[in-house]
Amino acid sequence: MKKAMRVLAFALAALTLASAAALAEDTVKIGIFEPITGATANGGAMETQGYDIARELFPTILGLPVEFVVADSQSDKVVASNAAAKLVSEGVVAVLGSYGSGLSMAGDPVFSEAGVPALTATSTNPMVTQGEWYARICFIDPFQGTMLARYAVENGYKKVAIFQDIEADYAVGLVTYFNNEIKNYPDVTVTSTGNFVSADQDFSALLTEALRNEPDVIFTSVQNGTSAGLIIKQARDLGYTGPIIGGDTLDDSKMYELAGAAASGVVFSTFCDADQPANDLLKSFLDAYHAKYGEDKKPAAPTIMCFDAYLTIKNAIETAGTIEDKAAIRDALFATSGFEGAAGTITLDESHNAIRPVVFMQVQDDLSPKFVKMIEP
Amino acid sequence: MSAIIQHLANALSVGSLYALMAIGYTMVYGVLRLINFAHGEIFMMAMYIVFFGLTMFLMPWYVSFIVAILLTAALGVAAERLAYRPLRDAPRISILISAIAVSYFLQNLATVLFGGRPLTFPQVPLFTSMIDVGGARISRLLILTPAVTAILLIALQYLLKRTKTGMAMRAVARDYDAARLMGVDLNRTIAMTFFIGSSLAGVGAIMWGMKYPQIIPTVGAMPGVKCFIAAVLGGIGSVAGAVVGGLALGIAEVLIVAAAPALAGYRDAFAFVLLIIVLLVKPTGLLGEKTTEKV
Repeated sequence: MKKAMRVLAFALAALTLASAAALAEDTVKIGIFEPITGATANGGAMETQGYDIARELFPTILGLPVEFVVADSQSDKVVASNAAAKLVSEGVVAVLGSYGSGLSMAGDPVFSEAGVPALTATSTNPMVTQGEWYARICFIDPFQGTMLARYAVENGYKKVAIFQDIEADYAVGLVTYFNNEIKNYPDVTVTSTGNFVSADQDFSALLTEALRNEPDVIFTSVQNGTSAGLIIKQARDLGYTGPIIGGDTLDDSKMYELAGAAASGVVFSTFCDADQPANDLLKSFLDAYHAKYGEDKKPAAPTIMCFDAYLTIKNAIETAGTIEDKAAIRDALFATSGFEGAAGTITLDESHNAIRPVVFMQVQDDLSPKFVKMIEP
Repeated sequence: MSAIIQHLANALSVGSLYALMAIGYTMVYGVLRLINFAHGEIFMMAMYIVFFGLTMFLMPWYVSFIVAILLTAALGVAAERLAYRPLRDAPRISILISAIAVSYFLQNLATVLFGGRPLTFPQVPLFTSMIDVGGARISRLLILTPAVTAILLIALQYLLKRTKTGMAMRAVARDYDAARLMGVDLNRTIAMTFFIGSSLAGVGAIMWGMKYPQIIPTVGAMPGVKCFIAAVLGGIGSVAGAVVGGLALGIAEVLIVAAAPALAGYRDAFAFVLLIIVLLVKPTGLLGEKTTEKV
């Protein structure tokens, strides 16, 4: 028995070594750092779809095939840190992800220490890119939160009820910037702030309390579409008929699934709109998306953004001209300027954040989001 | 006024859900002196079974519910047969570890079989539509949940007090070896305990799913811990205690959210604080009997 085990272990080790040696030279390893399971898994799945389509359309970098190394953060910050370490030890050239600012922030120190460039498509909390190795191709929350607050003010809402996921750095940050802007308008008040955690599914007690103040608008700052969908559904069930607004995490199929007809009329801010084929790249992305996931499916903005993230990292590696020198890849990534993606032009500023407009969408009666307006920074 | 009714209805329905699951913990503890850590995962499996029954096999809701309750009960019995029975004469700690293993096994099995992405529990409009009660808008489920719990409790009390099976269970709970000597079929009695406990978890899972529709493989973890707390709070081993504990926990949670919405995010922590306080004051739980340790 013992002998058999030893032989087996030996064979396994030999196999691992052999495969590692075989793969070392002829692929470009890109780490996919996403929540594949857990409460935020739908966000991770939306992002992974974007990477997959991008790799299908552009399968090589510097002439070498791209290999994805997936690390599941299980929607948990502690596990995220371990998942990041796993990617580093696998020797990835660069990392894409994560959905959820808090998860990206958990990975940041690991990537910084190991010197692996990382790029997130949708983590909007400003803290994410504070390290020297993380970049993003989306806007940041000081901008998004301010624009959401202005949207509420412009529509004449006087009393705002806020719901925030206090477990998520993203959600808390967004509310902070929203409040900072609201303070500039003395006639607009925040009548209540309801705190919950990502796994909460019963908002009826919180909503009952919030609705006693008869708010003009409900602002949901959530980590994932599930929370938003449930808040929207339960608010309507309790007889609330007013407007509901939220940030980019509402752009999630789960929100529609859970809220159902109650989602109609909800307004959210997001990164881009799939209905506006601005360029050929978006068109080829959409063709591939529909072929793979069905004609009737409309991609959420994070999927398109992740498609762009893959192209951005591909561009950076090819500009650097190496898969060995990670510092050169990072410098090329941080220097990205005027790069054409499917969702628009990507230019990173000196703090490696993208400067790009925020898009407001409104959910229609048929539960598809429709473009409302776009605000340039 | 309407807000108070709303909160009360919420508290009662959450509390009775906790109670349903806590009974499963308490019954198994009663006969085996085992904390069945896999109870939350059995509950999770019930949610998946209903989901696939309704969406994949397109069963009518009542068929799907019955199938789910029976399959869940069978799963509980199978867990006992495969993971606990072989260890019945081993030290108590081994069977406890085995329970933890079953819990992790089921969680990972669900991840492999059903994937990590959250699924949405199908809504049955008959139960989830809203009605007006004294100015408060309440889901029918909010009234139905306590009612179902009450009916099941009465049935359970009848079973425990008036039937032979119930008498055997009480005998095993009182003195394991003496019951065996008196000719009680231990295997059958213990299997029956798991059958009843797991089917109650199945009923709880159905109502839980209609109230909280997200299903992920870890969905049973928090309810599992909460209901364990409820069982200990009420006095583990006592069925009435499990109900009292469940209701107390549900009411306390809703009160915290109602009184201080800003603290609502720490709702789960309060459950543990409550447990610590009650145990400090009354170590055997609210309705727990003081038992002297057998030598």
